Amino acid sequence: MTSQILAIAHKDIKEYFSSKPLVMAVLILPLLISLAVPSLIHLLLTNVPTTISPQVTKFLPPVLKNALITMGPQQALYWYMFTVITLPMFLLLPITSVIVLASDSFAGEKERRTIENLLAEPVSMRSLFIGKTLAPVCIALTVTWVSVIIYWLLASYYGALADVRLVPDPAWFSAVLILVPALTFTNVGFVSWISSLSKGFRESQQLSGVLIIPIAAIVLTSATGNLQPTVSLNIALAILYMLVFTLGLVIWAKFVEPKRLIE
Amino acid sequence: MPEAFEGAVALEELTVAVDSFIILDSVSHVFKHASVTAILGPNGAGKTTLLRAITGLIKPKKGEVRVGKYEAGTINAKKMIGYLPERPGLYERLSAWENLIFHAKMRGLDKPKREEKALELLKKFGLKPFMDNSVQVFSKGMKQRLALARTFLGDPPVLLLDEPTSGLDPDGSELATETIKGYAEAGGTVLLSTHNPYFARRVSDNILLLKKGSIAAVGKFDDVVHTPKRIRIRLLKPVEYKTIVNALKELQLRSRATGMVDDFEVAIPSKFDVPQIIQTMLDSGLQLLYVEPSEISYDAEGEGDFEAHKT
Repeated sequence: MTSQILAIAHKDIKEYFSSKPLVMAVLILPLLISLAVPSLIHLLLTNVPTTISPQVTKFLPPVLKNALITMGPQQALYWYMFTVITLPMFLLLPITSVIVLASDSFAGEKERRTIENLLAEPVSMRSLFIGKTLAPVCIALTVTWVSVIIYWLLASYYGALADVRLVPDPAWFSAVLILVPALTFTNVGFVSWISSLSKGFRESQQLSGVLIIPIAAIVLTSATGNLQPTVSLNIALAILYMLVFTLGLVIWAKFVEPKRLIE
Repeated sequence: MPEAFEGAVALEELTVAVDSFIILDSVSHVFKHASVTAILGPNGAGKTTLLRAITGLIKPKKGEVRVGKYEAGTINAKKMIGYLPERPGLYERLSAWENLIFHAKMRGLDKPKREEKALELLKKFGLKPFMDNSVQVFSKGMKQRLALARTFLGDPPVLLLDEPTSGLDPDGSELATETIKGYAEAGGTVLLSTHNPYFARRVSDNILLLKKGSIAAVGKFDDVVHTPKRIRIRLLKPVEYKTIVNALKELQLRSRATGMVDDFEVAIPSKFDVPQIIQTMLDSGLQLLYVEPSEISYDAEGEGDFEAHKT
């Protein structure tokens, strides 16, 4: 079972990498984010005063207000901009970078008429779904984690220029290492689900677009500083997401028949 | 369904429907071990649906399908089947080698075994020189060969082949025929659907004739399939249509065309009249490129008398 899951994922990854436009589509956004965002933040912070008057302070998000008390203005602003503001970006990044691949997971096999043969292989529907989900997840996580490393290297460099020591805190780490994989599995699973029930890739991609709405809501809430990540919150959310993914998997495997996929 | 039966594949009152439309209607049959059965029938007879039901891709509305002792669609039943769908269904961005290796992995073959088997099949189907090429550069015939090769991975005891000679040139068809026959001689069971009665006659031990979702006849080819009612004649050069009409006048055949013609069909009262028709045309100075039986009909009704294609 595991070998079949890995075989499907491996095959899909090979197929992705044989298409240059697909590789470009997957790489452009993460590269842009990991290179451009720290530079933009640095540019912004070097051009704004780091002294904040009490009148302004009362309008600031609670997260930043607390940081100002404990860290001092410059350190707090750097910390706020480089961690609190940008973290949601890395939650959004995995799915936005591989939504094309996930949409293609089943719909592409249908369009290219390869699904019938795949379904005739001695593989359970559950393994099939995990295998088809795993390929985009692996790529999404690789791309996201590489982007995170580039991002932090740049962030630390820009921080050092302003005499500010920037390191990701445990909440940040846990978000990227625990929450991001769980979120990615669920989102890719959701898109794969839609893909399996769509007639083709285009329909699948259009329907998958609705996924952006709840994620964008989280990003906006977080960016306003009203949602402060903590290690325990990240772990709780990750467990919740994995439960949702597992539930989706079980329902899919039980109710989606091969006939539905070859129609 | 008996607990133990002699066949490799057994159908019991198999009924498949889409909404209220019945595609297969109470089909019962046992396909025996070490045999090749060709499933013939006109379009829409249910040939592809029957193969899909045996593979487990379509669930029956009623009845039962067993592969060996397993219910169709289960993992154990699927392990027993090598399936060639109507379209090759190859991963075109991958190479021939990668396609075979992927499916060998799905069949649970370990690395040395899958590489050995993939290489053996590529050699057998004449694709070894192209094994590292992306499938998208393959011709239709090469794709069909590769798809056919894929069905033999894991040496399944049952092969289900939907139009196995589709897109194959004469050499490819010959190779397919020999491979399938050899496989059955070695103990394998083959069920194939085809629109090519000549291929069916060559390759199969038995014919299962489907019509409108039911079994119309089962037996040897000559018992099931009617003699062709027409022959197709191709001329070396186009001639005035009235020349053909004049040539065939003695045979009292009617015509419905005008102008220049080089390809036409002639209705024949019986197969014994064919030599006379050919001789008559040659005597009239017509240069024949080839003569072949026209499409074989599966029913008793004769078609029109004389048809021609203008050039």
